[in-house]
Amino acid sequence: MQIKINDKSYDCNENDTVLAVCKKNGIQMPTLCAHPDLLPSEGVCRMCLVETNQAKGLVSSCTQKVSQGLEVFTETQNINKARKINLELLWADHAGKCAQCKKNGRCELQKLAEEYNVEGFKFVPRRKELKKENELDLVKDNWSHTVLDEKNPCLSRDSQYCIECRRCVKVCKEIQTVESYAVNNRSSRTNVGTPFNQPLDCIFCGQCALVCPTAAITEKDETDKFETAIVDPRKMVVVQFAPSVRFSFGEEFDQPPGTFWEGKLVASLKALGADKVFDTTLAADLTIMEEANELIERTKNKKNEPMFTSCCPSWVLFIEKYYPEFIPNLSTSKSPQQMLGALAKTYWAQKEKIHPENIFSVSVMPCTSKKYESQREEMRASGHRDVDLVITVRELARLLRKKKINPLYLEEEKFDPALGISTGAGILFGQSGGVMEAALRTAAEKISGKKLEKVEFEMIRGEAEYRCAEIEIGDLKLRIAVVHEIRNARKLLEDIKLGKAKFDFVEVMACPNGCIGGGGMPQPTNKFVRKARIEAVLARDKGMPLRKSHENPAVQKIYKEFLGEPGSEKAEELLHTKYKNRKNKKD
Amino acid sequence: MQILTRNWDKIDPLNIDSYIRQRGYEALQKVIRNMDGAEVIVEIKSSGLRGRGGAGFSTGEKWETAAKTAADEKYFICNLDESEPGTYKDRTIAEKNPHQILEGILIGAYAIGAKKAYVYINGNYKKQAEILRIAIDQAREKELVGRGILGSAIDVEIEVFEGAGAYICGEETALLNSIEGKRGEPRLKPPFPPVSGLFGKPTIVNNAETVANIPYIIRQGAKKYSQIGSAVSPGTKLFVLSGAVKNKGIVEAPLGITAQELIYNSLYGGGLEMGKEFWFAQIGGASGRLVPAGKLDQPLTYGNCEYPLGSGSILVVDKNANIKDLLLSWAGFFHRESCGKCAPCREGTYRLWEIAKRLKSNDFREKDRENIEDILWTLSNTTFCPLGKFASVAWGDAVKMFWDEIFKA
Amino acid sequence: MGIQKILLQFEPRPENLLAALKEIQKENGYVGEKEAEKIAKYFSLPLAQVYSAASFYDQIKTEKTRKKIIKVCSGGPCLSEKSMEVVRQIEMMLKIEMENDGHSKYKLEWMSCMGMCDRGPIVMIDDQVFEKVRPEMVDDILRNYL
Repeated sequence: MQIKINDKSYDCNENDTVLAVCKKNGIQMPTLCAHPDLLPSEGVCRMCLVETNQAKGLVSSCTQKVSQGLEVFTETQNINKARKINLELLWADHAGKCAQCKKNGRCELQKLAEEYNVEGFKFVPRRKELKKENELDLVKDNWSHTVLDEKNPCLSRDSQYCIECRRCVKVCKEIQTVESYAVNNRSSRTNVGTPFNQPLDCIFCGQCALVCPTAAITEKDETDKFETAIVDPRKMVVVQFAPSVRFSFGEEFDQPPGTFWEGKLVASLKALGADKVFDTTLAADLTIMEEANELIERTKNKKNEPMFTSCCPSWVLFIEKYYPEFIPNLSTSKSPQQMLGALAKTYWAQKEKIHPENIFSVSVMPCTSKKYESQREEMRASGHRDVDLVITVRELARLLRKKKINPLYLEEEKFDPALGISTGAGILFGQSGGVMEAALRTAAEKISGKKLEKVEFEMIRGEAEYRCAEIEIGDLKLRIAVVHEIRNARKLLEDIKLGKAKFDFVEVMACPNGCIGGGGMPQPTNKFVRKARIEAVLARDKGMPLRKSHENPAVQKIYKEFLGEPGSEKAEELLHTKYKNRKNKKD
Repeated sequence: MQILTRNWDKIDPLNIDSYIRQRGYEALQKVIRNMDGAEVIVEIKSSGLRGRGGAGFSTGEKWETAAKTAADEKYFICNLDESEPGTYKDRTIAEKNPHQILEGILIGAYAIGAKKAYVYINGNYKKQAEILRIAIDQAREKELVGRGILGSAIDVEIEVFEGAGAYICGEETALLNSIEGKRGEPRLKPPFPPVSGLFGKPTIVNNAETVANIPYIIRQGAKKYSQIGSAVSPGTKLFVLSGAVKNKGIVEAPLGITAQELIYNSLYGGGLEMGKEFWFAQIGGASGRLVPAGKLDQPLTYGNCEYPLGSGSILVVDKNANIKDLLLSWAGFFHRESCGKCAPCREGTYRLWEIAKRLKSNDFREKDRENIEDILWTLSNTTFCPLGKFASVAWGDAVKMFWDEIFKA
Repeated sequence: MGIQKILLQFEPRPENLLAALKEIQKENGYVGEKEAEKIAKYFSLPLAQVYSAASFYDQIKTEKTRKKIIKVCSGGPCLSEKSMEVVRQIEMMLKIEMENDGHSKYKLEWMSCMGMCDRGPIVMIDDQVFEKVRPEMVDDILRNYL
């Protein structure tokens, strides 16, 4: 059907909201609680109000469904008045705080406040105006309900910045089904948070931080540790970054989503003062070697089927905390990040004759829970913490801006080759289905002994939540599944428990579409942005000279010179890990 | 004119027989034996009965929508949450004549095809909840509630559901959320409860006073009822008089009566207390408009009124009253009761309350005048549910009528 | 009576959650973390949802409070019956200020209308309700009930 917006006609479908039609056609509409991945919208921020010919007053366009003959007006005097006053009301608790805020310059509320010329101190007195006693009570009262949560390694929460948009509640409940957050209290004390203000004890996937429009939930900022290490003359700072990061890093510097900025990222890290820059993608190839070997072993012995991938730390935590009975099914292979960290402090350190104590190993990740992963007590294969610091893409960008380093003006640089060569299979790790495809490319050749004609496995690509297939490799019939988002993972686990689903190998990613939708990625990340990033990943795989993990010469060298073969004792010691039952235990 | 309060002096709330002796449950018998649901609805529609909680929507039309919506389960809910300040009429019906409410509920449930009914009662009304429970048990013993009512195939179960202290739960969709074990936050409308209500099923939410009118309408007929009161909203209303009137309390009067009569007629308010001079009257509780002396002669109905009658409570304020105390009372109430879901109400009521506190200590700021206007405007026009509008009504009138008074030191 | 025994009075259906919360509130004085966890388990609800609902309502407290809370009805009819004078009297006698949380033992708050407008001013101390309170009565009430 057609509706009219500001006297122009637009096509739309039956269940569309007016907001969706506006966004599709580039009509300006401020929103704070709406998010393209979190539908239906709740209509709580009242920013998207419009006037229509069907209702007397203002209605929220995010909840108003289209209908035949509907006429909408988006820029009337009343609407602008409403936006201005409501922004001033929301802004009252934020006025004057931007300079010290983590999200300065990247905050949705701040952006709207600037756009609508919000004065700021309309409803609150400025600090210097606070003289009377009862006003100090006001400040005291406000602080008494502020909840600060720094007790976990991954996420920071500061409720003074919360505008109660409820996006985090929705994403944690509907997409991840973990339900850490809810809306608590009433009246002006209403706050989004955990029950009894307990410290967060979830899977740290960071989706809440990813959707938060302000600084209420953010990644823990650990860039100071990076800075300290860089200026320490005793430390050799080695940095690695994940496959998906090179496709989104540019967005922090105004590039369109999916821009391939690998060279720029290496250059930025070098400009910051990193001594060596390695590619996590190499370790992804290594992971495939180990995991394919493990898969073949398990299917031969029919042990602990299905095997689950284990490179996603949020998925591992989900199993450990909520479904510990599936721990035996997890692959014992570490994640690429941890494998590279372990090798850097053993294999590479030995080669370069550097004492591992003097290596400070950093990784730049799309992920918040990698911070937790690097701190796990099992991740000390080298005798030291394999990865000393994990920073998210957002933190890196913040640091670069602080140091006034703009990648736009840097010449592209290459990885250090010792641990910097990768294949298309490794690159695929960045998106859901990638680990599976990479594993199949290697497993297929290893099992059949024949070279693969076609390396793409299209049936497991795409954005559906639960993709499964039966792959025939020689005599072997592999029943595989690819799952992303914890709600789908939970469904899969329940189906397996009920005997409704039988698989041999399952890839699980906690974040929507895998790491390219990770909790540490640049904001905004939504289905449109993720699609662009995925396309870039697939294009890169297609364009790489090597597209199968076992063809990686650096990987072959590591086995030849150091590890022996996949599954060897040394490989087990450095590249494999153990898990723990964490159900109902306070960490 | 006594429809609701008829024979209350002859009825013992804890004795069902005393109710039956006053023609109690006759209407229910008539309905179960001689009428089908559709006929009941036609009767209620033509009576012109409108909701007595304040919204004034046609009860019959609501019932019709619920009856027409196909579903495997339907619910009938009597709203006795009654949290509007100055209102205690529903509580009084429950403690004086609980069976009047129960009979109305049973007839309503039958009309729409509901097998389960709730009485959502204010959490503070513990005594009244007990009275209702005893009444339900006594009715059950006489096969008037539960399975096989009066030997028929009709089952209607009634349960008393106690609230836990939240004014917003008087709003029908917030009430539904409350029963579902959630926060009492209002829902988006549409869908409306008669189409999708409790647990997504067709649900009727009627005010207790509305429900209490049902037995009379069935017994005496819609035509007779429609001739009482005013043409646009027939019947009588329980008005609650408080403040500076001589006779404080509950009076029953036909709709269409004026505030002038209610306040000054010796049958009702009996005029102002000795030595007190009339300043204004607030009609409809804390969310009601302020009526000056010159406007008291407007008929109070549920039609289009300049001064809507709302819940029917009338607070008479005399010239000795401190307007700033009242402003603080109104602002504090709506701030406390705001559910916190939408930004303008959550933040607006808070800022208005801050201003009210400062006004009380004569601490005026230059920005106050504009801020008050802006907050009242946004509360009135941009909130998720009507509570925002309610919060702006009394202040809106006060600021227009008593600006100098408020801002003088 | 233990929490479990109270819970067993109710069928674990969502429409019984509020009543269960109220019952536990009555028995325990508040619904704390331990209690909420048991409730969540019984009703098969996430803890976050139980706390979200419990913290919404006036009659359910989610933490132990050591202070005595004195509430005065803020409604128009009670104001008309001089509730403000009662407030001033309480403030004077206890040396506290309305809505101020500074005192270690007492807190004076406004509360919403309880529907007892024919018997106002209404004052509540914890669960005890006092009707038709005059300033002269305040001394007695505070002495006997605080």
